[in-house]
Amino acid sequence: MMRVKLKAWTASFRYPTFQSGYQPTLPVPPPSTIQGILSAAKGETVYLSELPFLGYIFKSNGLGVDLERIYALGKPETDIVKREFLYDAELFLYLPDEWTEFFKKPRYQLLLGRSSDLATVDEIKRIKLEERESIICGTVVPVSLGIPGIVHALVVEYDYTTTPRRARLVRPFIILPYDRGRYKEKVQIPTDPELELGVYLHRWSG
Amino acid sequence: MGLDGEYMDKFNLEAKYLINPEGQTEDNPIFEWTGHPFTDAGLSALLLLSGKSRPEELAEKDVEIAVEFASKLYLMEGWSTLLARIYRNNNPILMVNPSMRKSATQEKLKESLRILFNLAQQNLQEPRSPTCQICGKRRIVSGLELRAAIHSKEKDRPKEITGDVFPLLGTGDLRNYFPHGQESGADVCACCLFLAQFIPIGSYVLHSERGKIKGILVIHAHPHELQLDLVSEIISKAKTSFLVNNARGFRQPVNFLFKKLQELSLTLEQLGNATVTAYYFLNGNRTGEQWVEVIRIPNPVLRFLTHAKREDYNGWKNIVRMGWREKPNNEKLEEYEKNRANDVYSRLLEGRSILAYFVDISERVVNAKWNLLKFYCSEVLGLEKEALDFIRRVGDRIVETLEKLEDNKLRQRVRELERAEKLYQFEAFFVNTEKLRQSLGIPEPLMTFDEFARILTSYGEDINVSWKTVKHLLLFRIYENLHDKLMKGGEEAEERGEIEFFGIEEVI
Repeated sequence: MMRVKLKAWTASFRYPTFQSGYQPTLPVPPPSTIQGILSAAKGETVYLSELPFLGYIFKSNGLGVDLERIYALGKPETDIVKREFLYDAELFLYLPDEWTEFFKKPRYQLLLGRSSDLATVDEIKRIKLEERESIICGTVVPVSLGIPGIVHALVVEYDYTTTPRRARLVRPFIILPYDRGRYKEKVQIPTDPELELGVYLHRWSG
Repeated sequence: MGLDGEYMDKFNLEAKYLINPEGQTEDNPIFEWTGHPFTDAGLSALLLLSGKSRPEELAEKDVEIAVEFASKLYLMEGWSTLLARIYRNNNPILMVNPSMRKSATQEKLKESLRILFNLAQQNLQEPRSPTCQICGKRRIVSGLELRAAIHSKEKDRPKEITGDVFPLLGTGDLRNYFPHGQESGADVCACCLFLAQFIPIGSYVLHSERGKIKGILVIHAHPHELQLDLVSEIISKAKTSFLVNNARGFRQPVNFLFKKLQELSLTLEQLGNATVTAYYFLNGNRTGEQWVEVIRIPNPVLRFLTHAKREDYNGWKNIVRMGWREKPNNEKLEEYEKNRANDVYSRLLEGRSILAYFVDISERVVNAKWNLLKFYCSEVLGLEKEALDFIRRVGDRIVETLEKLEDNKLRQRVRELERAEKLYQFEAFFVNTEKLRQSLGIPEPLMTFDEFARILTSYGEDINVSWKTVKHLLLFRIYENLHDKLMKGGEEAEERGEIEFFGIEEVI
């Protein structure tokens, strides 16, 4: 297994249906954002449901609110919206080994949200996860895992064969913000020994 | 009217689309918890109106009753204003727009809701592409399809699925926020849309002092039993008096949430994996009226509230009182609770420490019992039990030293700790106390060098568990044991005095 570490000054992950006025950010990226990152790295659409496994941990060092001017499509009007953004972001992706080459030379820009949330590859390394009791945070896990967090329905992957893109797989998740001090419950889970955190490996391939 | 033959013919429905009148089958339920706060709020309303607790138990007659009730309720005074704040003005299903409102009747609203429900049933049976972005199970409904089926003067005009029919989805004028700027709006199925029409019955409404709607509070909790417990009050108000639930006159959503949570009779075991997130929003017509605030109550805070209520409710109330700039007396407490933001609540939600509120420095008194403090430190701050016990032991040794002093000297020493705002001042307190022990002839040292280093450095990395945490815990222990001695002499305590700092002398 390999681990890719991405870094970005800012990140922003919109709640799926909050499209109006104030734009809060989810504390961690939804799986569909990971789909976007993998697709950009590979240069073609990637479906998470076709991957044998995928894990990720996201951390940031703060949250701010930005004023953003937006241009309406097909109209001369502009508008201002307030958008939350996460500052000093790091995303750790846990992927099969073959992904090394795509992240060594990504085909398109890697983004943690909007086009301005440009990310760089900070490190690619092989890693061996250790099975032990750990806390999980900075990620999303299935509701069935029963860990307390924010419950929300999130798109896992979009179908890009149609325009506009359509949701292909949607699931309710527990969102666990990165805040290790707050989590006490430990679960038996593959653990990243460097981060001392559990890595939930999603398998949507059935 | 039931789903009879005439009705089915009118809307070209086939019998296979109808759900089992006795209830849905477990493996193919039409209603499910989706994880989306708004559709789950609608489902809660539906369940509570029918007196059921699981979506699988909902039968056709339950939906009929809910539709009948909602269509009557939404025409009543006060509700139309509320609808326009949740769905904007152009919701053709609930006929929110004033021009539609003129001709709105219960029958028309009922029919629109029924048609939507029937669309939801059809969608369950049809091929599943494209898929709803909320439930991920049913095919989406188009604005055109919706408009064609329900009462609207604009039925020939294609219309998007926007904030008109689903809160906060956007106006449709600004298509940028829909994928590829699509004109059909969001990808939502008829079932999720149907549930979204019951949000007003499943939400608390907060008003301003002048009686205007300030915001809508949708509470989303997991497990689902907790969700139903938290919103049941809303439904009973709608059922008994046909009024919107005004959150008992609270103008502060956070205060109201804390109040609600304290009222629940839950055990820590029941709250093991529970979570509560509230969405406070407005979806009005003007740009400035479209906003949302996400209020997340972390599980450790839920557990702390429950523990506080059971073990030391008076202590918890004292702590909360400290959260207002001016401490309210009993007469003013209710007014403060309803109208003024509380710093204790804010800090708990933001993950900041409330340790300072466990003591009242001006009165040199503790606000709660040590056990509540202990629970807070271990459950919310994440302080390890060993660390807490160690600090308590140090506190006891400090008390053992200081209690031998004359009252005036005692107050002076304690003030030294109270006013330590810099680490070197904190260090100086220990060095001075150690010297004091020697001069008083107390045989054992206050602490070893390793313990001293641990107190100063081991808790420095996490902002919640810094040396200031230790300071507050020590003050708690001192006030708990020496309050009477410290308060003896009253004003004399505030006299000027010289405090010797380690290597530095400062006049305070």
